[in-house]
Amino acid sequence: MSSLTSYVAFILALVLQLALLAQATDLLAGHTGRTGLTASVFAGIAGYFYALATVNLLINPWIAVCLALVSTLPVSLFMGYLLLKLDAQGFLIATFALQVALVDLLRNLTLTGGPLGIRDVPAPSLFVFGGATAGSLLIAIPGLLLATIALTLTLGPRSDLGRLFHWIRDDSKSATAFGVHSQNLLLSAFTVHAIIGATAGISFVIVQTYVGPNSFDLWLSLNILAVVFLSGTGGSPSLMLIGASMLVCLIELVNFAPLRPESVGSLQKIIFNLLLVGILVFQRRGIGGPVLEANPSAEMAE
Amino acid sequence: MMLSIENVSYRIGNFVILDQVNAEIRQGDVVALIGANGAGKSTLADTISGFLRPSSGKISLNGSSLTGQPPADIGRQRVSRMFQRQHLAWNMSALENVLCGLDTQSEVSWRKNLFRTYRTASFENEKRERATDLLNRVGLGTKAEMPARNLSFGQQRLLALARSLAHRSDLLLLDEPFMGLKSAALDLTVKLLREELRCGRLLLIIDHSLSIVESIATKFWFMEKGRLTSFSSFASLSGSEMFVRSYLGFGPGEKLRAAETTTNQSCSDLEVSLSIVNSQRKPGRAEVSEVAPPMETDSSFASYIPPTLLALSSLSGGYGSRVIIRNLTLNLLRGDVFCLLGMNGSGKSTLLRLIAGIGKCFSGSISLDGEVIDHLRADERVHKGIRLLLQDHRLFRNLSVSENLLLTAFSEESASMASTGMPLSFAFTPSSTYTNVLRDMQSGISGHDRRLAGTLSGGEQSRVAVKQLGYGRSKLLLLDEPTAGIDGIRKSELITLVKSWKESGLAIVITEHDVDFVLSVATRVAILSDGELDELASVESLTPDRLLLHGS
Repeated sequence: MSSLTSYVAFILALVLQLALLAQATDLLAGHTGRTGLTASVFAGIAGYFYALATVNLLINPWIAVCLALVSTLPVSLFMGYLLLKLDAQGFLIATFALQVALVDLLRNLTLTGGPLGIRDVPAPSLFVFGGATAGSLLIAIPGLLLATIALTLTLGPRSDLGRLFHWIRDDSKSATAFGVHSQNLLLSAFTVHAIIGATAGISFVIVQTYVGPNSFDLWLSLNILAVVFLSGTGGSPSLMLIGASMLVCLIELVNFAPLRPESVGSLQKIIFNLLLVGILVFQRRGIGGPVLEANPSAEMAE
Repeated sequence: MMLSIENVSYRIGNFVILDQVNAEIRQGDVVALIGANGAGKSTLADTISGFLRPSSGKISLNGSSLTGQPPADIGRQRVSRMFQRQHLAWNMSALENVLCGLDTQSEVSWRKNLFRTYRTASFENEKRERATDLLNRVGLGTKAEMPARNLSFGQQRLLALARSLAHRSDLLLLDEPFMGLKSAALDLTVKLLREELRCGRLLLIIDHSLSIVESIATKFWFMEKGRLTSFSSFASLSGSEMFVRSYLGFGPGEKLRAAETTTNQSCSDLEVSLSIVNSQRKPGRAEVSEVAPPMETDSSFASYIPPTLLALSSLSGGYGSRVIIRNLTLNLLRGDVFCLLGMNGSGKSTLLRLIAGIGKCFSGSISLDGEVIDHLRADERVHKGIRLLLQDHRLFRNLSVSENLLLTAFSEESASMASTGMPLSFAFTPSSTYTNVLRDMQSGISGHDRRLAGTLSGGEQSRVAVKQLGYGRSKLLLLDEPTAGIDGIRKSELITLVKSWKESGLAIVITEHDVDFVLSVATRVAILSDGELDELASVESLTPDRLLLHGS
């Protein structure tokens, strides 16, 4: 019974982390029109920061969580300033390249443990709640709750900020003509996206008690995109939780398939990649996303 | 309140687009900016709103300089802009689009949205009431929840206007606000602008609808090759030689007649008489180069000519699950110029798109030359001889004018090769279409052959799009608002062109709001209302009362 409970808690942690990362990605992709892979990049940066702070510097886990989140701010402002100068297509390519570069950098740095990464990462505890899974949930549950409330309030139908994001997504030229500083607004969204991604990254490192270069590679980004498109881009932030649940359940079902253990990982990747392609081709709106079409006049003006 | 433009020039390399422009708008002024296509009107609007930085000179609003400031800062400094193209938040509802215009009036922040107070909520309610009121005033009250992309072209123009009015700016820059609007919507728009004037806003209107701008403007700016001349009345503008020469296209000897006409007739009458006179004139040397080559008609005409070219039988269709055209039946003969009138959103553009293969036919059938074409894709219908001129005249903006024209020829080649089953690389031999394009390019017919299509003005882009239609083996031309955004000279040219197409045996369907144009070219007229067609007995029976009855 105890092992079943810890298994369910582990799965729950994975679902919450994936939902957080999907919310972060969709804030940019669905609401401001910038699809990218930076959510896993920030998850990686914050995860490594937390691991280094707790294992190498022996800083208290709670303080390390705060430091990791705070350290994300200047990095996201700097990266956002550079990346948001690009158009939507350039942004996607640049973030793809950035993620590949980050993984290779982490693999070759001695400070980050090289390809072996950092092991035995401690978890924060609160009252009776301790251990890796509980510590991870202590970060992920309030993180997802806060992110969902914040994003629902700011992107909802009665929010002026959400309207301006959508205006920039649909036609930034007219938004600019009416006095909207598109770059500043996009940068604020990018920073919020980075903080949400970082929260998921810290939670991920805690539940695994390990962080390595492969923890935040392209495979994770593809999973995040699968959740975003399955849930529906530009839709309600709470839908990401449903999409993440469906995807994690699918991962676990494959684990129960009568296959050789070494084949399971490959099968999962094949299924997810095909799922992602299938959603994009046949159900672009996902479970509950809005219909989004490009404005031909705005495209012509670019 | 005052806008001041001092010695403003704008150049790209050696190409002067604005040349030492000096002008000012004072409180209570409504300025109409008029000029031929490519004269620099939209460029002037771009320099005022900060999208282009003047090469020299100074622009100031209420004493503070706008020169060199980012467009967002200028927008925030109470200048609002309505663009010539449909710059709307495409996926947002009409109400949200207007709300966007109101949102920019106050501070927008994460904090304010995260920690909402009663005051925030009531402010949002107030904004919604104001936005709904504006939508009602432009006649879009019933479309408030509809995404902007699903509105018709005219309704989108009205929505863009409502959003501009929502922005409480000191200066309103309206680029072609009346384009694509039918008379009922026009009346609403003019009334609305007059109401705005009472608020003391400065108004700069760029438009080719002379009769409307005459009724609303108090001052007239005329642009010719980047130079601006100011006139205090429409009579003085219309009597000026530069206007008659470069806008209406009359020679020096004809100036007197034009001036006399102006003083005796209303502006819209002037447009009719000038267009008719123009179409009757013998083409001079300059005009010969502007007239498109004769349309290549199908050689099968000579051997067998079926009585009906296009037959629509009980056609119903629309987009997604929305039925826009209902049970429509229509037969078109060769040489028919069938003009469709109707209020904005009545389904005119949708009907053209259904015939062209864009959109969804729910029931009924479409036949061309006796052959059922319902099952054909849009590109296959092009190969059958159906050509559609879209309302927004889409060109490949990163290709030059020549390349855009050559693509038309290439499309013709590939169509004929596809029909013979020959691979393109082996079968390519220049056809007459290709030769026509090359000949026109060598004679510099378009005037801007090497310029990128995206750098042309809206009216010039329209000319290139119309020219594309003139090449190739066509049977049926579908023209969606072909006069939108074009000046008097081009309108006269278009009338001549449509008549020559008609003479060469083509059938033409035109949706149009310019009744004068319709009267000049149409052989049949119908009014489309709520997806249903009401054909008039004759073109002459197209009276103002009839139009008003249908809200056209």
